[in-house]
Amino acid sequence: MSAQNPKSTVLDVRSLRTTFHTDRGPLTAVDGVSFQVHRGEILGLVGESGCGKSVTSMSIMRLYDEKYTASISGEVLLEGRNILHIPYRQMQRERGKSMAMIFQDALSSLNPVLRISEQIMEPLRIHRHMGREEARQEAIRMLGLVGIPSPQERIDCYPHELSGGQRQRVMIAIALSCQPKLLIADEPTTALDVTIQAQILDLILELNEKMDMGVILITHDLAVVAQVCHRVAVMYLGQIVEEADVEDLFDHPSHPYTRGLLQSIPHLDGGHRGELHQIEGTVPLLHQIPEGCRFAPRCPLATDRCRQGTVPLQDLGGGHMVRCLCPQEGGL
Amino acid sequence: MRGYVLRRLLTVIPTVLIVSVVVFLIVHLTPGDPAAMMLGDDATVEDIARLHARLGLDDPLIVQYFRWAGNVLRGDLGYSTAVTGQSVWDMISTHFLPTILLAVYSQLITILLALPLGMLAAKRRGSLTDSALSVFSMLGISLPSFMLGMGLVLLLAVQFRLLPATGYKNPFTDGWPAFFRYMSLPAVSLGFIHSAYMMRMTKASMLEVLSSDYIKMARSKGTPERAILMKHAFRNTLLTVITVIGQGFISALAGAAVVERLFGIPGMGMLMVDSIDKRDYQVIQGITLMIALLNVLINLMIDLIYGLADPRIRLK
Repeated sequence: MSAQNPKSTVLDVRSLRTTFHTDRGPLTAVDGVSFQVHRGEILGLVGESGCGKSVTSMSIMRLYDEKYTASISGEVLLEGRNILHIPYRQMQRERGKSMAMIFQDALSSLNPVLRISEQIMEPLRIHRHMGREEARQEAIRMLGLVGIPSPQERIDCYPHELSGGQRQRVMIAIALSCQPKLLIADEPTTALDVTIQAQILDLILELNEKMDMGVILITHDLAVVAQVCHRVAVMYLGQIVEEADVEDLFDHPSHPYTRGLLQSIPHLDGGHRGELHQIEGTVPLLHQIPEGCRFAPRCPLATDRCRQGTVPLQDLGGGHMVRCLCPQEGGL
Repeated sequence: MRGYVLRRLLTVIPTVLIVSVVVFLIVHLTPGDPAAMMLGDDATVEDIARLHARLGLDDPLIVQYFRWAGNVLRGDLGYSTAVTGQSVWDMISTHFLPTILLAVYSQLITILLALPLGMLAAKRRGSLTDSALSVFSMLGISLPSFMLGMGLVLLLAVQFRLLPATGYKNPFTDGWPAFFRYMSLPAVSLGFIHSAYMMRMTKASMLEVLSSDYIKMARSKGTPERAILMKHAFRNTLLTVITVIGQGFISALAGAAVVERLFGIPGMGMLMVDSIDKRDYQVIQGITLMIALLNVLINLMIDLIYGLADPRIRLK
């Protein structure tokens, strides 16, 4: 997809590093993450809870309080412009307009005391300078676009009056109302039923093609990745450990962690009968990050060499990057 | 919304019934004989017994209760046993206005002080402003209203002669400027404690709201900080604070007794304290009932305002 058909780069993240100021001292949750998202491409950002996927997205949107909570360094190029160091007010004008975000839990992400009309019209009025009536018509059109039935009536509902799937659609409508170049979807289907999950993923796929925008899909669900993503970046403890086109990653996972993740998926069709595979040990805490390869303490293949010095990302060819000294070949 | 209002109104009936029983019992079960008090030290046992019979104090409590409740329903709160010929209703109605005005004025000061400062503390949490406001609110919470009242009188009335130390002016006959001159010190001393409390609640509530997902979402839409605060956070913060405002009114009514005494304001608190001194049980009963009913009314209003502010409540 993106590899065969190179398109213009929407987002270019270079050596992103996010450090939180905590009572126990600084904690680096994202450490040197780099990736690109192209037009029309869906990049999956995968990993266990606490691996830094959400922190990465929040840092790109600059949604942390940069004075008290976190400091962010590196470069985030949105269509070539570094947005990491522009003034806060200018950043506000980018959010919602050129980049937008949808969150996991639509019920808590929509303001409970405001009608959804108010919440969809807000970005339209701020970024596209529409009047009330014009914004309302556009909001109704957007609700129709994301598949809300009879949008003229639904637009004056409060969030609690809609179903979970509809709320998620409303959130997508809000995010896409100003036709952003980049959409970040942070676990958009985790809180939903499986059937609704599929509908929402289809909707994101459809809108991604229709609007030709870049999408970062954050998830811990590899099945979701296989279904919709073009490229995948696997994160572990604040670093990208493997990045590849989706077929390549599923066919030839090279990093022991990626292989472990893939083996943990239960199969119905024979193969892995009996007990489910699990990766040994647990994810270390952020202030106990091991030296050398961060995965080494849990890795079945780790050698002494792995525990010394940092392990760089290496290119296996065809855009397949892996952070491992002894990358594996072949399928599972 | 109409269904919600109706249901809420219906719950008032049992509350009022229970309140009336409790008020009646408290007054009648406290020791001390009103007849003996009325007649003074020289009264003979026969005199007291005669008065007992005349006032119906010998009847069983339940009979007395229903007689009193029936009269109250007809708008008759009885007659003062200390001041001859004064109906309790007249006494309460002349003392009602100062207390209500004092409570409203003190709560206005509280809200105008606490809401913006609480929001500021939340917005700038961890800053010097926040620490200063914390100290200020700690001070407010630990300072009793009579201490603050006396301090203010000493400073502003005695030392600088800016405001009168005691007294009361009716705003409708003497004008509002006079009213404010006389009532500002009492209102500040009454409202200050609660403003410290309300400020803390506002800050806590605002902090919780500001860390919620819908604020994150609003920021990700590019909503300017001002609109985040005023449009997205304020109404949600208010949901918690409305309850605190209601409590404030109620505690202001209770606290009025002390402050009215201190500043010589002829309100219900003052009337209450005098009546207790004289064991004027009809008046005590009447005022207690009025204050209890006022509480029920305030709670009703709080719930109705809640329904207006939070669309999720109306549905249930």
